[in-house]
Amino acid sequence: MSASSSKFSTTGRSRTGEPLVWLTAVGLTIGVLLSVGLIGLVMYKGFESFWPARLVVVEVRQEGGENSKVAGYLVQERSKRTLEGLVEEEIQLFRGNRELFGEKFVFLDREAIVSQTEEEDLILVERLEGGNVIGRAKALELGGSETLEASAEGFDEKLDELTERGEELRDELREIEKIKIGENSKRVKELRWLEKKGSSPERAEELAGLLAEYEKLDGQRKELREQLEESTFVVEAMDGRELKIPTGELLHVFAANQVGFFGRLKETIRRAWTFVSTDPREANTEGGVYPAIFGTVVMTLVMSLFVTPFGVMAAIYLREYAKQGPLVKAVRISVNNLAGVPSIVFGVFGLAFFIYFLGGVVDDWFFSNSEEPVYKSGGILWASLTLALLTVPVVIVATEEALASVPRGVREAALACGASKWQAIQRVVLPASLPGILTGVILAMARGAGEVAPLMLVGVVKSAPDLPIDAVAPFVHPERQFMHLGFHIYDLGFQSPDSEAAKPMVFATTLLLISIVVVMNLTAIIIRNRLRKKYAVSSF
Amino acid sequence: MTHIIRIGGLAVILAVFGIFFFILKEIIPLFSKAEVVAESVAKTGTSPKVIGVDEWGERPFLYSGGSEIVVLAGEEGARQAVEVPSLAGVEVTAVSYDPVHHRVAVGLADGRVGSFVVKYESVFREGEPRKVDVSVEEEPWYELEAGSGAVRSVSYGDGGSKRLISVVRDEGVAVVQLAQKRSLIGAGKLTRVGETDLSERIRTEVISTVASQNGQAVLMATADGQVHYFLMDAGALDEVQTFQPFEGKPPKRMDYLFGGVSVAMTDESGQQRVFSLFRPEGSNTRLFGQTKEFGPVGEGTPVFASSLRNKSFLCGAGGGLAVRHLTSGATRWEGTAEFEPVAVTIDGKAENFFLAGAEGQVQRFSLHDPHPESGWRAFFGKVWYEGGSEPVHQWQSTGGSDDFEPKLSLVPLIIGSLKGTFYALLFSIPIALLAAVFSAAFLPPAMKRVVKPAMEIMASLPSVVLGFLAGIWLAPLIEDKVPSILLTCLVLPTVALLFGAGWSRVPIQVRHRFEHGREWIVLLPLVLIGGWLAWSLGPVIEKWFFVYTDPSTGKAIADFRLWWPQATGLSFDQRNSLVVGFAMGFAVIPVIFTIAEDALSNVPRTLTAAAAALGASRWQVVRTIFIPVASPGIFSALMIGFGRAVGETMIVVMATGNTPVKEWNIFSGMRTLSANIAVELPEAAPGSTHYRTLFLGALVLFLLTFVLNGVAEVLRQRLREKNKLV
Amino acid sequence: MPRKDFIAIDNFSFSYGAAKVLHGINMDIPEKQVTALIGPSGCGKSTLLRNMNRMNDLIEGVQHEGDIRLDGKSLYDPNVEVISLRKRVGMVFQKYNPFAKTIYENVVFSLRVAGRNKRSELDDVVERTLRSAALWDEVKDRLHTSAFGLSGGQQQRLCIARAIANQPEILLMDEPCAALDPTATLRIEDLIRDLKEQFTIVIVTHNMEQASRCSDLTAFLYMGELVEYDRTLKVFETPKEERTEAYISGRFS
Repeated sequence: MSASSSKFSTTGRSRTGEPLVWLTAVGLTIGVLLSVGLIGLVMYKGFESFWPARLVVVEVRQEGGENSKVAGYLVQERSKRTLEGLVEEEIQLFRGNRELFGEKFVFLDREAIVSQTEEEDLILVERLEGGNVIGRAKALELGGSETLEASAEGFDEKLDELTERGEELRDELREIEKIKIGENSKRVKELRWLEKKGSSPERAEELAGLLAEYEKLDGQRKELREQLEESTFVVEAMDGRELKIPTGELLHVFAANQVGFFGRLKETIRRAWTFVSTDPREANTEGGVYPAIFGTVVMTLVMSLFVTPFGVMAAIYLREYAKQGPLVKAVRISVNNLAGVPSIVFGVFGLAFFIYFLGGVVDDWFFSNSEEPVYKSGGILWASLTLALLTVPVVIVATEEALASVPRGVREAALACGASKWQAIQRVVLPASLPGILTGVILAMARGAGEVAPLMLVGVVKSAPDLPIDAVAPFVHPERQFMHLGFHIYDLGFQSPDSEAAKPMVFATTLLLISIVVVMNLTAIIIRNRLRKKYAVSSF
Repeated sequence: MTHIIRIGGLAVILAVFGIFFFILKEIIPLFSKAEVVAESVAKTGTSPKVIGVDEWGERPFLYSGGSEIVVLAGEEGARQAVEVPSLAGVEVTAVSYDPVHHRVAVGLADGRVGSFVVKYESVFREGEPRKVDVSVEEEPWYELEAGSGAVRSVSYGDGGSKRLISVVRDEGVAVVQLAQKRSLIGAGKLTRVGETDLSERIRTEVISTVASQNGQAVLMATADGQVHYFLMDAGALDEVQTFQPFEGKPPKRMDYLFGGVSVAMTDESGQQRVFSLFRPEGSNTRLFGQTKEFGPVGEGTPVFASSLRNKSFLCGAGGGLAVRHLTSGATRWEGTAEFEPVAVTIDGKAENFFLAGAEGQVQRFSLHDPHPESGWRAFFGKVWYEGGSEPVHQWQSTGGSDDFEPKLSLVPLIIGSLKGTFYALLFSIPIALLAAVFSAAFLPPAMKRVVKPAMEIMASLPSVVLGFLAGIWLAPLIEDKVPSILLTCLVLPTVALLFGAGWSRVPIQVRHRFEHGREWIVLLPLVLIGGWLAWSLGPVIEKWFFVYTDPSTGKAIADFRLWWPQATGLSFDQRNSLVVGFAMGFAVIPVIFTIAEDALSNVPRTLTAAAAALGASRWQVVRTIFIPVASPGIFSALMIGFGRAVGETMIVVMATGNTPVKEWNIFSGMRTLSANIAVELPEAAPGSTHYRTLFLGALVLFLLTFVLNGVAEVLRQRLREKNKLV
Repeated sequence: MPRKDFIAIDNFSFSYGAAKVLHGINMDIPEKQVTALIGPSGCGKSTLLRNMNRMNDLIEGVQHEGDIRLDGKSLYDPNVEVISLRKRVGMVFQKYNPFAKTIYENVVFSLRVAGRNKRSELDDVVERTLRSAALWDEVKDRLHTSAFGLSGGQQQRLCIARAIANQPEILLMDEPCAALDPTATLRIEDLIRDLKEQFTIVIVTHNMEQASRCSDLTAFLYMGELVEYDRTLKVFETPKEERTEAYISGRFS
C-alpha cells in the first residue's frame, strides 16, 4: 500500500466530469424555465387582455402646428430597429372611435410625446358594432328633442337603464329573427319545394298563412329596430367631435379612471364572463367565444362517447382474450405507433372516409332530395369520429396498462370462486383498473380538445351561425359545422382582417384553451401518480 | 358478452388499420396507367385528310379535301354530309386542323388559303337526351402575294384578336397576318393586316409549317432538318432561332401541345422529341430547347392529336399508337390499331379519341386516364416543366390558367419537413437529453415528483398555441435579435460548465455542505442573469461581426437581417426555421425528455451502485453506466421525437411562410408535407390528381412515423427485457 | 503487525428518514481477517456494511450519528472525498452485476475511472486480478467477450475481481453467494479464504454455515443492535447471548 493512500484525498477524483454534471443540470434548468415560462407567458398575456387599462391623454407635438391630443389606452411600448439602422421608440395606443379616426390603433413616436395624463372623466364605451369608443360622456338624446346633459342629475342611472333596455330589446329581436322567422321561412321553403312536385289546396292555404305571419313578424322586427335607435348617447372625442351611439347598441360604459383596484378587478371578471358567455362580434375580434367553447366541449364529449367503449373493448380483447403471441405483440406495437402518427393523417382519412364515403352513403340513402350535401360535408359528428380514431390508441394503451397492473392473484381468486372469465373481468378486473382507464380517457380528451390540424379538414369553421345543439327540432344537429377554440386561435391570429384588434382575443382564447387542457392533463397525472403509489413495489 | 368483446375488439383494431388501406386506396389510381377500350369501326368510304370531334366525343367529322364534311352520328353509324359551298370546284392541296376552334385550314392548288369552322351546338329538349347539331361556318379566302404554285402546307394560328396563317407553296413561303378588332357587340371584323414573305429568309426548301395557337409565332421545317422559329414582334416577324430536332432529317410532324409552349416533333417511326420555350441561362429570349424524348411506336406516316385538357397527346405511326404525357414524360398507354390511321383526334374532355383510316374507317376509343400527370417520376424525380430551363423538384399544385401544368414533386415538401424537424431537434435534443440525464441520475425523488410533471405538461400544450405564440409573439420579437439568440445559445452552457469547473475546485469541506441534486436550482439565477447579459450583448456582437454595407451608398449598418443575405446570398424571413425550431422544440422536448428519462431511470441500480463502489465519480457513473445501458431507450426517444416533429402541422402552418423551397437556410421558411395537406386539402377537388397527391403525402407521413415509432418501440421493449435480466 | 482496530465503528447509529435502523454500534474490525455480519433480515447488517464505503450516501434522506474510522481516519470527516475512500474499499454485491462490457473491461473499470489507461499496466492488472479471483484459467481465452457469457458463479467471481483490481485494502461483500448454487458458493468461499491474505474482508451473510466456514470473527446483529461479536468459533459454539443462540440454532430467522 502506498503511503499516500493512508490519508484520504480532499480534492480528488470526485471532480472528474463535475462540469458536465452541471451541464446536464443546466439542461433541466432551461427545460423547466421554458415550460414554466411558456405557461406563465400565456397566463400573463391572457389576464392582461381582460385587465382594464387606464385611459390616458397623450399630447403629441405636430410639425408646424398645434400639439394634438389623443385619448386611449396603452397597448404596448416597443423599440424597433428599422432596416436603415435607426431605432424607433414608439408606443401603441388604442384610441377607438373608428368612424372618426379610421384606424383604431395608433403608433406614437416617443420623442414627439409632450405629456401623458390620466383624466378622470374619460370613459370607455363598448358597443355592438364599430368597436369601442373612448371620450367624455356628453349627453343623452331621448327621442324627440329631450336631452339629458351628462352633468345633470340621474344621468348615470338613465344611461344604465337604457343600456339594459337595449339588451332586452335585442333579446326579443333575436327571438323573432332567429327562431320565429327562421322556422317560418324553413317551412315556407319546404312547402315551395313540395309545391314544385305538385300542388294541393291545403298546402297553398298553409303557405298563405305562413306568408301572412311573416308579414306580421317582419312588422314587429321593424318596430323593435326603431325602438333600439330611439335614443342616442353622445360622446365627445378628444378633438371635440361628437359620436352618437344609439343606446340600443350600448353594451357597457366603463369609467376606467374612476375606479380603484377592486373596481378594475370587478371589470376584469365582467370581461372574462362576457368572454366565455357571449357570441363573437366584429369578425370574431370582439365579444366572446361561447360558440367555440360549446363546439369544443360537445365535440370532445361526443368523441369520448365513441372512444371510451371502443378503446376499452379493444384493450380488454388484446389483454384478456387474444392469444398472446407474436401477432398480438405486433398489433400492440402498431396500436402504440398509431399514437405517434401525425394528426393531420387522421384528418385526411376522416375527410376521405367519413365525409366523402360515409357521408355520401348517408346522403344517398336519407337525403336524396336535398339540394345541398347534408352529411357529405364537414360536421361535428365526423370531426368527433375522426378525433376518436386519433385518440383511441391513447385509451387502448392506458387501459391495457391498467389491466396489466391488476395482480394475477386477484384474477385467479375470482376464477377460483367460480366466476366466468367475463364475470371476473367485469366484477374484479375492470373496477380495479378503472382509475387507469379514466386517466386514459382524460388524456385522450385533453389531446382531442387541443387538436386543430385534422379538424381543419373535417368541419371546423371560423364562424358557425348555429350551434350543433339548439332549441330547433330535432335539437341535435350532428351534421352542422362548428367552432373550436383551437381553430379560433388559428383563425384570429392568422386569418383575421384586423390582427391588431384580434390580439387580446387570441391571447384570452389561448389562456382558456390551455387552462382546459392543462387541468385535464394534471388531473390525469395526479390520478396516475396515485395509482403508481398504490401499486408501487419497493426496490433497492 | 365474451363474443361481443371479441368481435368489438377485433373490429376496433381492424378499423384502426383500415386507415392505412383506405388512404392507400385513394392513392393507387395515381399509379395506374391509362385505360383504353377500342370500340367498333364505322365505315364512311371517304378518304379523310383530317378528323375532328365535338367536345363530348359524340359526332366526329371527316374532311377529305372536297366540298363537304362527313359527320358521323353516335352509335348507329349514321352519316350526314354537310356542304362547304365555297370549296365547290376548287382543288385542295393542303389541309390542317385546329381542334381548339374546330377549324379546318385549307390551301388550294391556285395558291389561295382559307378555312372553315365546324360548329357544334348542343341542343337540350325536355325529356330527350342531349343532341349535338353540326353546321359549317365559312371564313374568307386570302390570296397570297408571295411565292407561286400550289399550297403544300398550311397552318392557321388563332390567338383571338391576333392570328396568323402560315403557308408553304411550291415556290415560296409566306405568313398572312390577320387582326380582329375588339368591339363591344360580339366579335369584331377580321381584317388582313399584312403578309410577310419569308422566301428570302429561308434558303432551303421548306416542307411543312405550323403556326402557334396564340397567333404570334410560326415554325418552318426545311428539307435539311432545320426548324426555323419566327416570332411576331412589333408587327414584324423576326427569326429568333433555328434548331435541328432530328439529326439530318426533317420532322414528319410538328404539333403544338396544349398551352402552346411546347412543340412535339415526330419522325416517321413515331419517335418524338418535345421542344419547349424557356429562357436558357444567361439569355433573355425564350428559345426552344429539347425537354423530353419518347421512343418510336411503329413505322409509317405519323399521326398526332393533343388533348385540350392537359398535357397528354396521342401519337401513332404505322399501326402503333401511344398516349403520352408531356410533364411526366411517361407513355400512358400503348397499343395497336386495326388499321393504319391517317388522322386522329381527341375530344375536348379527353375521354375519347378517334382514328380515321385511309378507306374512311373511323374507330372510337374510350380513354380513361384521370391522373396522367402523376407517377413516381412526377412525385420524386426531377421534372423538366414547360418554361423551366432545367429539370427541377417543384411543388405548385394550382395555377391561374386552364393550361397550367401542375408541379407535384413531393421532394421540396419532404425536404421542408426534414428541415423543420432538423432545426427543432437541434434545439430540443440537447435540452431534453441533458435534462433527462440530470433528472434520472441526480435529481432527488421528491423533486422529481414535481419537476417531471412540469416538463410533461409542456407535451400537452396544443400545437396551435405554440404555433400562434411562435408566429405572433416570438417571430417579431427575435427578428432583429439573432445575434442575441446565438450568443445566448453559447453563453448558457458555458456558464454552467464554468460554474461547475469552478465549483469542483472548491475544497471538499465546502462542497460537502451542499446537497447533490440541487444544482439546477443553483443555476436558475445564473441562467437568468447569463441569458439577460447575452441578450443585451447581442447588439454589441452585431456591431462587431454582422455589419452590412449598403452597396449603393457604402453606408455600414450593423444589422444581422441585412448582413445574412449579403454574406451568404440566402434570404432572411421573419418567420423562419429558427422560429419553427424553437416552437417545435417545445413540442418535442417533453417527448424526448419523458422517454429518455424513463429509459435512464430504469437502468438497474445494482449497476450504478457497483460503478460507484468501484470509485467512479458521479459523472463517470453516468458516462460508463447510465448512458450506455439506456442508449437504445435514448435512441428510441430521439426517433419518437423525430416522428413528432416531422408530422407537426399547426406550428409549421403558423410559424413559417409556407413557401415550398428546397434549401437548408435556417433563416428562411419552408413548407412541410403536413402543412401542405392542411393548407391545400380543403380546396382540392375530391378524386382529382391534386387530392390524391395530397393523400400520397399523408401516406408518406404515415409510413415514416409508423416505421420510426415501430423501430423505437421494439428497441425499447428489448431494452426493458434486457434490464429485467440484469 | 496488523491493526486490531483497522475499521473502528464508534457508537454508530443510522436512520433512513424516520426509521432508525442501527443503534449505537461499537465494534473494531481487525486487519487481514474475515469478519462476518450475521442476523435475521432487516437487522441492519447490510446497512452497516454499506456505511463502510458510504454507499448509503446514494440514498435520499439518510442520517447518521457516531463515527466509523478507517485506519484511524474518520470516514465522515468533511474533508474526506467519498471517491478516494471507495478506492480503498472494494465492494461485492448480493446479485452478481457485471457491466455490459467485456470481461477485460469489467476488470479494469476501476482503473479506467481513476484515469489509468496504460495498456501494459491494464493487461498486468487483469491477469493478476483474475488469477487472484481464480478465474484466469477459465476466461483467459475470451477476455474480450461479453461478461454475460459467463456462468453465474463465474460472473460473481468476475465481480470480485473487479472489486479488487485497483488494490483496495478492504473488501466488503454483501451476501455474495445469495444468488449462486452450492458448487459455485463453495468456490467463492475458497476464494474468500485465499483473499484474506491480502485484504480485510467484511462479509454479510444469511448462511450460518458459510459464516462458520470462512470467517475469523462473527458479529450477530439483531434489530439494529450489535448483540454479540467475537471469534467465530466462540460465537457458534458458546454464544454468550440467548438471542444469538436462538438465531444460530435456527429458532428464528
